Amino acid sequence: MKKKGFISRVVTPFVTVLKHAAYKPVTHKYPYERLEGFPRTRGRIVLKMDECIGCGACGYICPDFAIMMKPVEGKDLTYPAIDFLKCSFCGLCVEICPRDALEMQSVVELGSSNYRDLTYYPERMTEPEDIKKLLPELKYVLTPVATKEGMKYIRRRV
Amino acid sequence: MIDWLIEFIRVNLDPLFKIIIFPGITFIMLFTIFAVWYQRKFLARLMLRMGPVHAGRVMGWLQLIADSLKLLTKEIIFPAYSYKKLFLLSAITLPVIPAAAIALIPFAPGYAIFNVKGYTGLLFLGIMSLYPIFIVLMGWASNNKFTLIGAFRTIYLDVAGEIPIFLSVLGVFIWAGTYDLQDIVAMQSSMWFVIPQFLGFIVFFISYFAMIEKAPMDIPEAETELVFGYRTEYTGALFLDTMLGDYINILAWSLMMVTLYFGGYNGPAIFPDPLLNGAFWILFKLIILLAITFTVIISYARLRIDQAIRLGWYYLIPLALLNLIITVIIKYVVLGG
Amino acid sequence: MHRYLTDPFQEIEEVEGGLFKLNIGPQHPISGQGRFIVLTDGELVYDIEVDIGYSHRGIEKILEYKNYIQAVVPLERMVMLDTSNILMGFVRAVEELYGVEPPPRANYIRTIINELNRISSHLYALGLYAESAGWNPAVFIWTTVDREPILDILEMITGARWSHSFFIPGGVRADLPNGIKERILDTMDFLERRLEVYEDAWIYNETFRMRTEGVGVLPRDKAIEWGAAGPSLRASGVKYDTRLNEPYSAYPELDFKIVTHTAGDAYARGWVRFEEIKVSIDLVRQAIENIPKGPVKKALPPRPVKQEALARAETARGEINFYIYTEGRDKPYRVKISPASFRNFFVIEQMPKIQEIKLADVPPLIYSFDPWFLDADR
Repeated sequence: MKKKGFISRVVTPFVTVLKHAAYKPVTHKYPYERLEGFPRTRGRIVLKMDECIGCGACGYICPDFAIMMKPVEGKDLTYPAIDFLKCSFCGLCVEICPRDALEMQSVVELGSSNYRDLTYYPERMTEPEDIKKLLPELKYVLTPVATKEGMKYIRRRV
Repeated sequence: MIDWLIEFIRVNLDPLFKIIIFPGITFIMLFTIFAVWYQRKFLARLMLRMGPVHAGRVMGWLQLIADSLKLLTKEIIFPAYSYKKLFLLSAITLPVIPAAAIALIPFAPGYAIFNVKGYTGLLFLGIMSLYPIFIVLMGWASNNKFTLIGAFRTIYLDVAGEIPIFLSVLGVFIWAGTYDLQDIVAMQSSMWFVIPQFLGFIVFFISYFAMIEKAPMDIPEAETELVFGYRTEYTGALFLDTMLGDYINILAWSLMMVTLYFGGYNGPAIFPDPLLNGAFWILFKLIILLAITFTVIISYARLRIDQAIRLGWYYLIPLALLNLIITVIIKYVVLGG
Repeated sequence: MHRYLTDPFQEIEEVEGGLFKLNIGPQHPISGQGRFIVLTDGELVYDIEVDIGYSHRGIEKILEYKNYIQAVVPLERMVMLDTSNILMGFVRAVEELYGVEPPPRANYIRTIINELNRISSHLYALGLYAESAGWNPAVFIWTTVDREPILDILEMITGARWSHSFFIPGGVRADLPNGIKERILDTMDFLERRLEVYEDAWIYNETFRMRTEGVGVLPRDKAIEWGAAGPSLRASGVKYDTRLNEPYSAYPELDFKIVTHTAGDAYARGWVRFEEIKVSIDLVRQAIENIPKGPVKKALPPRPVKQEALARAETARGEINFYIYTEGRDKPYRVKISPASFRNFFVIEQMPKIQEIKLADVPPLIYSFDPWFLDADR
């Protein structure tokens, strides 16, 4: 424990707090700006129907029982349908798939006013989400970088 | 009828202007709204975030108007078994007291709402000492044990804070030789009183936080223990009244600090008109002082009530008395009256 | 068990002797997700009772329906701040059941993630502690902002900010990505500069010391007798840390000291947490410099070799114990978790018996022990 004098215990907090007025704010104005994820960020799951062999391993490993295999019109295999109300985005199904037919996008803004819209059937799961449709006012995308001086955000127009 | 009204306005133009526009009701209300916006933006920058941004497109200046309108449209709830008349009247009277005290402060040479020679300094202190009484009435009229505890803490804090502040102001009165605020400001045109009265200024600054009830001494309103203190049961327009009372109190004491120690409206003449010049300089000093106040609010933890009383009685009162002794010695012995 | 809860329930109620009981309940700015019932006469506190159970989710029962790889996902949502340290206990117990030793590179990756989680949890807990002592929330917001670079590193490695699901029995799920070493070293430099700012503005601040010094002194023998855990134990002078007494992961090969203090009051507990952040920064730097190469996973054999296993790990709040009993299937028969905050709540209840506490001291006293209701409720 260090010993500090009277001035540095009473006056220094005031000066230190005042110095923070010179730093840039670290909040950003969502939905006009958005933090993009990193390459490994886990989000919505996308299905590649041509690769899938319908083995059901993803349904076996899912800890939340969110995956069910459903038939699709025009094809003779069953494909996974994910209930995103139960999914906890753990990524075990993506890892266990023997043909790498599932992959994750870094979009997590899945919202709806209807329960049934959030159970994604296999046809819907093949289309990746478009961030511009979910957030129409989006203008910038930020990438965070931690430097020795503080957090910096690199902006890019979208 | 109309001729009588026009004649009345033409004769009393000067006082009516002062009471209604500047530095009267309109100025106080607008400045309160500005002070809350300023607090939110400035404290947000110290906390590394942005404050209101969206409402009003630039810097969020319409945010406060939106919040005030929202509060005005909400229902006023009277708690069961509360004293309804006292509940209503004490909340309505609360902002009037510091606003009446602002009427005594000179904003330019010879320009104050209540333009009378003599005892305006003492009158200011007398009016401001009524403020805690109404807080206690508000806490008692709510019929809630938590708010009553908060109201009693106001009395404790008042005991700890009012005596040092009166003693330090007494030091200024002795140094200046008069009780009149306009004369005190006029005497500071060469040197501000903060330099000869430095000890008194330190005592004033610390007990100023006890009077405006903000950290480190916001004990009556201790959010982590008593939800909102004496203001817990007020909703809607009455809540707006208590917020107004809080901020007009800050405005009144800050103006007193600027008047007594920092030269009031004195400043280098950058406008030719003395009224405009005085108003500009007093507002400039006020805004810097508010920035310092807000920074102190955020830099220190809240003291316990017994620690605040100990600070007031063991440390501040002896310092203020020491200041008085030094002032009397320097003024009457060294400088010869 | 409930001494003061009566039916019908009232917010403030008179008890005999001029005392009344005050309910600092779940809807209160400072209470968290539980209830504190305080027997007081307005200024002094004579008794505190803690009422937990508001966030019981039945995690021990849920784990009976998941196999050992699926079990990682619900278990780490037990406490949101400090997830990987809790998983360490479970993963070590399962590895003992199956007789598997994780490869060395996996041990180092686990240590890095554990220490980063410990830093982030301590920062958050210190911010809450400062806010309970009556600060307008500047310090709390700074510590929340300073956790962002740490959470970004964790997102780069694992894919999520706090719900990593990254440890599995036998190793970790994936290797470190490219370019992570420079990022970790930059972030550690940034954190050290911010810690200096905190020392200036907060730890040695006079009003903070006035508020917390001398509050809730826990003597050394009582701390051992009542079973305090974590930094609360170390602030009373007991030199006990699971990372040194029973080392696991990469801790036997790293070089560090544990932080103790002799005063045992609330200020000492906050100070010990603050110094532990510095120790963790040093550990992360050592681990990322000396990380060996090799595989990161090892497969589990098809059947467990033992029937029961007991393992422990050091979370930011103290030591957590896991006991697993299995009947040979791929799901456990019974998992018993003994978290650290449960024991700290007992210590908080005993506090008014050994010294005088004022009513205004109750929030700093509670938050100096860093109790987390989610941890105690499982």
